[in-house]
Amino acid sequence: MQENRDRFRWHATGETAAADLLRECGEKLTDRALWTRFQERFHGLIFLYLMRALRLRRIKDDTSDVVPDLAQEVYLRLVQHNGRVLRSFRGTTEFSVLAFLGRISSSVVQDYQRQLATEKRRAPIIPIESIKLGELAGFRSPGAPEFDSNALGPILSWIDVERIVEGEPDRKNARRNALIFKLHYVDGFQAAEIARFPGFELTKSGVESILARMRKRIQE
Amino acid sequence: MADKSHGECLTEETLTEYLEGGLDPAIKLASEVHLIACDECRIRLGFFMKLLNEEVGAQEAAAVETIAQQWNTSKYKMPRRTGTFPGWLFRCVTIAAALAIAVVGVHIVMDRQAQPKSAGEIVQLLLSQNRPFESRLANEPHLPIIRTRGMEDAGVAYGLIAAEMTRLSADSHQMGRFYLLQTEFSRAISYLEIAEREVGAGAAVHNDLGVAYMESDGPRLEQAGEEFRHAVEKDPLFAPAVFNLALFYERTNTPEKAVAEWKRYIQFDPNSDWGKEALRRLQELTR
Repeated sequence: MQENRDRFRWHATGETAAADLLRECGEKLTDRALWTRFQERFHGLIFLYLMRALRLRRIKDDTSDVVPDLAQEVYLRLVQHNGRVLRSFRGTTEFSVLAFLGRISSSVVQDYQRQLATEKRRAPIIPIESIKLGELAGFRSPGAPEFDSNALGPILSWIDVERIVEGEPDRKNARRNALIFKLHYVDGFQAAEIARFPGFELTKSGVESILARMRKRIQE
Repeated sequence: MADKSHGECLTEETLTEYLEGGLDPAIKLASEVHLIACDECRIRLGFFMKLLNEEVGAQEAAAVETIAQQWNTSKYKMPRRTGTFPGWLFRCVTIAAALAIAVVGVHIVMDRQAQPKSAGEIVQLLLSQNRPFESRLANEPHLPIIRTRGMEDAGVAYGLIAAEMTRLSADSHQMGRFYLLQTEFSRAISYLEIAEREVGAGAAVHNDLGVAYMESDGPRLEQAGEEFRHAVEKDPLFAPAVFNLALFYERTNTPEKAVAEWKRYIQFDPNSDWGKEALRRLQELTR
């Protein structure tokens, strides 16, 4: 995995902080050296996000064919209106830069999907809200929940989540833990996938122990 | 997002800031309350969890590598499969396209003796093949207007030429001209407006931005006139801007001003093909 990280260079050290580079690019739209650094650092990442967004939105086009065109659109959105989105970027962390590029890539793919639907008149737009992640081909976490989450869905909707939250001994994190419970059992995310995001403030074993505790309480 | 019984839905920014751990504690708690109850927002949160997953599988890495190579090296786009026609037809089309590309390639080599080495040369090469509209870009060689044949019909694969432009570090002016040649006006205007704000933007930039405003057939026709006038102020002998200013007055139904500009143009460029076109237009106006 380290090899992949090096290849796409979003974890490189000793360089300008990603957030600063982003803002600097917004200030100097025609600085070729700066944009070359941007491209070296984030080009592969933009391709990756576009590719993933196309798959997650179930767009059937050959992604290798369409991704370069969409990447061009991402660059256009970055520089249009005199680089407004870049200049207004307020993030400070590496993750905030990734999230920023991810949101723009996702938005470009969403517009592309709308355009396809309009042009081909063949299928209605599938809003992301309607896609159940657990159903996405190739994205199902192998062996994550130990029972069928589809079957669990109706049960979960019957379970009073408020009651679970109220009974949670970790009062400070009661709602976060309930969210983790749903992400795992309803949406099919593995403990490791959840723990990967700093917002949950948990290690993989931390997530697992929360899930075990909540499962036990529900069974009681 | 619409209001639900469980409150206002979360923005994409809030969702990704939640994942980052950057939300204010009170907002974080409110977001969690919402996410527990709102399946739609939780699915959108999951979408970003999948999208931003820092682990890249071998298959994904290989695909990204392939796309990056395509971006760096390709100049021509192969026909895209639509699923409507049988495979043999696509193979025939592919062979035909390859032959066409070879013929075009030979033609270019014969014409130019060399492949373009800069973004500016690519634009000039495209300008030498087609005249996209009546008005005149900076450094545009004169060609007759052929109204029945679009740029795409010429077999030029713009998507991948755009990638080549980026690879050759095209500046905003060149990118704007490139998109203008494809009559992609909104993109062209975005780039040219950037070029116009740069220090030292010359008459050529103002002229080309004016062309974009005028040919986009939108509500910005008046701005086109301003840009042409600005170009002439910068360089009173800049022929394309005078030519375009005359056209602008024709299109805004001020023939007396158009006549004055055509006369001015013919004074300093009487013999070129552009000059002859100006003379023809002047004769039509004064007939």
